[in-house]
Amino acid sequence: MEETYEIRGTNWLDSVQKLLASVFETSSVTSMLVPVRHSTTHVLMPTLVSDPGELEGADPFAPCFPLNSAKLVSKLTKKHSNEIIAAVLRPCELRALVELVKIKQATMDNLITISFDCAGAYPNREYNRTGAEGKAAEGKAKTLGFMEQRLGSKLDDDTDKQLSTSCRICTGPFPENADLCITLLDHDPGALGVFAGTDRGRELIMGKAFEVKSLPGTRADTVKEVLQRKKEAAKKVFEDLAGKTATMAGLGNYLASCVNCYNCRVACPVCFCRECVFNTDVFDYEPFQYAAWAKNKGTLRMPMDTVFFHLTRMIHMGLSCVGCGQCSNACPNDIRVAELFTAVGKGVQQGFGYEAGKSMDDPFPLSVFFEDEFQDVTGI
Amino acid sequence: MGEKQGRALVVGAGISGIRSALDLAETGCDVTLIDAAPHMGGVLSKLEYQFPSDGCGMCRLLPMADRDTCLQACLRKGLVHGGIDLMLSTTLKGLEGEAGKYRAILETEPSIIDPKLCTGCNRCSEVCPVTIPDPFNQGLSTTKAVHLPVPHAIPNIYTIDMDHCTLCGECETVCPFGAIYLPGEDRLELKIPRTLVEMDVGAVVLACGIDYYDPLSGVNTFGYKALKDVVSNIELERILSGTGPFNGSLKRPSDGQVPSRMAWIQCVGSRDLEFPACSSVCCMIALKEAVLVRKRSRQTIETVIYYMDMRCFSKEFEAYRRRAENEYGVILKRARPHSVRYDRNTGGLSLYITDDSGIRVDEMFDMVVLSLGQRPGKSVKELAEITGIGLNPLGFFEDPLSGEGDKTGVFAAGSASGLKDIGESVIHSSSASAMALKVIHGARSPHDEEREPLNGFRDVSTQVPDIGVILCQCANGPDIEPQVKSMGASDVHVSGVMAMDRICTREGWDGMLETLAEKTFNRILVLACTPQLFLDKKAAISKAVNLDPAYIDFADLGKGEPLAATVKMGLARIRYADRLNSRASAMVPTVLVVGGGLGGMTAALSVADTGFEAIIVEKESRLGGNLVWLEKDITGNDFGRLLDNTCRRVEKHPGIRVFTNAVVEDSRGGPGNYTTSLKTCDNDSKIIDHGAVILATGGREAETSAYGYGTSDAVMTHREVEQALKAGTMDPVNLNVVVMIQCVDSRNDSREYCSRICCKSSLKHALEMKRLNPELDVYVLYREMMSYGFSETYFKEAREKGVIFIRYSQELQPEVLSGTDGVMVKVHEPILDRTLEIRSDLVVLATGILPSVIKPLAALFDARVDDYSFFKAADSKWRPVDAVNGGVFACGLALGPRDAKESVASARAAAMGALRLISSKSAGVSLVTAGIKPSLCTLCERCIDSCVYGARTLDSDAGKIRIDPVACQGCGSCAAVCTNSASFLNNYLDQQMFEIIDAAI
Repeated sequence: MEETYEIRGTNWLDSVQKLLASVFETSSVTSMLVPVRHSTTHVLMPTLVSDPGELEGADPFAPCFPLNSAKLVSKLTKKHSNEIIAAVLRPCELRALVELVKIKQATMDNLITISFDCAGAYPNREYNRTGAEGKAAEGKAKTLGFMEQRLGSKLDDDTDKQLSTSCRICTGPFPENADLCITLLDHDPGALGVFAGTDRGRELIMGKAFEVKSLPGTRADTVKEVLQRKKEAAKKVFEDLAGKTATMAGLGNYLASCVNCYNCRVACPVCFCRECVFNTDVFDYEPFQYAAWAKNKGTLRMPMDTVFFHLTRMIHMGLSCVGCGQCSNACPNDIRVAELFTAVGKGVQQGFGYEAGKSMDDPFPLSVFFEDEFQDVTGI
Repeated sequence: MGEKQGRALVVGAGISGIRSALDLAETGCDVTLIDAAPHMGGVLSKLEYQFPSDGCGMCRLLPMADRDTCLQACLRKGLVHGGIDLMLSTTLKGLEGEAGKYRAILETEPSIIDPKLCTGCNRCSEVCPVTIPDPFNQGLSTTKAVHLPVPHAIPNIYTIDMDHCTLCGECETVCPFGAIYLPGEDRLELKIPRTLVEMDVGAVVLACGIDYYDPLSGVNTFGYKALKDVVSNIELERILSGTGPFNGSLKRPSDGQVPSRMAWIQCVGSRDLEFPACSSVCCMIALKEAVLVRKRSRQTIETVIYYMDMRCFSKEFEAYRRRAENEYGVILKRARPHSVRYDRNTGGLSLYITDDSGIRVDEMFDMVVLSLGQRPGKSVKELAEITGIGLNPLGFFEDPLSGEGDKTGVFAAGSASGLKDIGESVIHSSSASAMALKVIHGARSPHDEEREPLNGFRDVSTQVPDIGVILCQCANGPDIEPQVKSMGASDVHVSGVMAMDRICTREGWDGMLETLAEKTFNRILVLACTPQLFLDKKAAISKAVNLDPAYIDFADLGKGEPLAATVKMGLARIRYADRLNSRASAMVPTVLVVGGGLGGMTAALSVADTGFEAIIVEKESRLGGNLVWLEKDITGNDFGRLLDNTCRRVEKHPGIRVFTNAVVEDSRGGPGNYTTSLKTCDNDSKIIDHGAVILATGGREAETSAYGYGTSDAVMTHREVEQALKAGTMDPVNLNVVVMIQCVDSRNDSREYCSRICCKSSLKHALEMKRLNPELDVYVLYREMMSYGFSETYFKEAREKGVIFIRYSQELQPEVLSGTDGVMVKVHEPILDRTLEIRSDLVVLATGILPSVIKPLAALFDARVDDYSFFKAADSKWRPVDAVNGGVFACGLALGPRDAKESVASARAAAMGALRLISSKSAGVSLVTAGIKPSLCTLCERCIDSCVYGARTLDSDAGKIRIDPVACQGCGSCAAVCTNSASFLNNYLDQQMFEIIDAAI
């Protein structure tokens, strides 16, 4: 069992800010990507902090993440730099980052990752509507209240109906392979634990002035219990979804209000193309072609290729889908894209015996070939 | 005559003939490929599953360079190559002249159905009243007197079995194309006489295959044909086939029931007094068939193979046997059944068997498969007389170790010189082509000039498509002209639809060319039947209209698909047709050979003898490899003389450079263009440019510490015995008892493969010692005597000479105890069921073969090693000497254990592979080649991972993916993994495919 260090501040945010500040002190990290509530706008946004003094507004636990930060880490690390940075990421953001590293859109060479037991988040619009983005103090209070309720109920999703579906059915809310993993469950209120998930993390933790404490003995059971609940919730959601989308007609209905704004694609952390194929000349039809299709069928729904777009995206990133739910957040017409993509992603990943974001060591499916693979599928 | 000829004649269009014909065509020869049958493919057309992969993969024979010269389609269907003239129903009737300048006389059977007119519509067969046993299914099903000889051939031309035809004339009347000319009722001679063609050829490759033993010609104790459920192994292959008598479901012929117990009887017509040779492949065929039956039946049918020795002697075969036994539950029993009898009580088949101790242990089965042995092909004797090629005592073509110094231009390929599995047939055929190429070399230039340069055509790449459609109409076909014209009128890019009458005729063809020459279309679509056959005619159209063949395409009207879909799909395809702008750099006409043993030297000579340069790198100070210590092989070939001759030829050859005391240090580049640095003895670096590389790094006798080796001088290895006999330091006259132990440290968990040559070496030593001292007692302790092929005769001879063979099992190994007065060998004798103690003067250990360390070297050239650290071939059957990327080849022991003769063949085959690559003109990039749009590329490198040919690299300086158009084989994996279509496959573009799909639905 990894050694866990306990940090006690006046509350959870104070504790985590202490921990983050200590990372600056004891390592060569020059800047840190972390959600910060800005002093002028009071809006919570991922922020690259180079002055530890500015960590006062840091709030990684808020029940809201306006975007999946893996994309930002890609921007920070894709090309070589001498800067060593740290990034505080939710487990789903870390998983997305792992996927991006595998497809060479980011590197972990000069990166220290910090993740935590995620209590989930509200849909962005929901969070904004509740007015939590008002004043700094209110936002902070909201976060602490949320955590108290969530951790107190051992992440019982039924007690908070506002929680986004993606978080309710998330089966990976606990950090696994971050350099530093923060544990919140089963600690005293306000306190948190930290253990190393990697060798690099171990080096960082060694010699830190924190109190050593083994992980609460109850943690393993709590984790198991939480995952079991979430798995059951996921099963229910997926079954319901399968009933709605099992046929082409059903799928068409599900996606009927899609207007090809492509927001889901922009919000998706693992959609990594420089220019989406749907923006290229592949889908630049000649005017006479539209006319011909309309004549053939009598009607032509426009914009065209909406279902095609989502199917293509499922093929392109289903294997990498980490279930963060940002696509649903981004949809202007409230299509529940995230459930659909999470379900399909889980299915194809299972087919390849792959779990997106789980480990850097699992080769990306289709990049490796074995002579005798998938005999049950191919029949030869 | 007098002029050296650049044309080669290949007799037989089975696997071996196809391999040879492609070898020669790809190296620029004109090839005439003939086959006595009305279809190509030989025995393979009847087989669907081949060991050791249990699949097909024949398409891997297709050219990898200049791919556009050959129809890229299933080779079991047919071979269409611009440089190969295929003549079916044709035999070689005479050959005069000398090597390089032959005149061949070919005779073609009259075709009652004109292959030029037959479209395969099947109406003749529908009306034919005569039902006959279907020869394609070995008579297990029926067909009509007028029938398709092979259901899947391209082109699919009907034939009439004139032995059964009643000349009723129904088919002649019903044929809509007037393709059938039946002979008149009142006269027996046919309307069309047999045609004789005389042809000048430089060399002849005989790839006429073999026949199988007919059990009816002997005493037939197994009841073949008398008992319906006793079938030959080829009949079983047909039963298992989807085009077989039961549509692929496994049933026994007598009553259509699924059998519950099946037996295979090995060596039917092999390894007996009449035919004292082994047929080499039947053990693996039986294993494969049993595995297939186990798989098909979900392991419910019990399969038992009765064998004498399970000869799984090739590299992967022992592992296959283990899988068959352990994973699939195939049961192997060592016994030679005496007979098969019908059991009245159960309706089953009773096998009369005795076990080792002589006790009857009969067993009941409900289906029995006979593994029929090989016999010389029907035409072999006649061809030997015509060509002057020698026959061995069993009636197969002779297969000399070294063809050097021979004056002949006629070479046997594949099984015609003894049955071989697919991999060895392919090697042997390429070896024959290499020798033929040497004869033809120098006379190939006219063909080269005919090749059209791809530059000089009108540049239409940026023009808006202006499509001309040619519609070929048969006189009696339905009138589709108005429909096609209206489709053309509604397509903005079509500017003309021209109906032609039968472009398959000379008049029609010329008429089409004249019409096209008057127009200035920049894309041409020809609608006709069986357009696959027009591959070589594209060039003629291209010339007539001064248009790159890339912009000319054919659509198949003969497939019975809806006309609108066919036409519109064709239009969508041609609309986007293009040729990539990138150009391949010229091939470097040099081959690097790493290793200067027999294989390396032979490969270098084969390369240099055809006018290319070969460079040998040898790490030792002298050439020769293992040949230096070997004296002779079992057939008496003198290795000393072979070594001297070969070394002398290498040293004198102006086309060969040799670096001794040198090793390969590093290499860059890809197929066609490598830059390699060598490190020579004085620590100098030497940079070499070459187009291909042959790894001939050899192997060695394995070291051992088993059986007291190293503790007693009386325990020696093969190599030590060979050297002692050669040096005269060992005289068998001074020995009384010699024990030879086979499979030392071999065929077990730590070294799975059989080293294949040790049994022959032991037989060689035993016979030699017996010759020198007939009083000597020789015991050979073996697990399975791997005296495959004709070396079985030496096994027989050794037994006749009194050599005693004692079988031991992996579980019960012999023991060797060395004492002061010689060594004591203890072994369990299974027939006596007792442990024998043999006091011997000498124990010889067959320790097997290990490869030289090749992994780092192979990795330099993007090649791999297999589980046993030998070179990993792209495909053990179809590409047995090549790495996947097409630029790296291996031969000799680097590939796996093999004897000198087999090493020589593999060396020539490797050279042939390298020659195929470096003689390609690569004037332009093949039409189906991958490209990249850098502006869309995110450099995720997934395309690099997905490219099995190593054609893609990351140029990190430029921040771009680079594609080697020579290495790219157009498989499309890169385009499939690329999410935003930055990678694309030319002529299979996204837009193009969408339009084609749209047209199809």
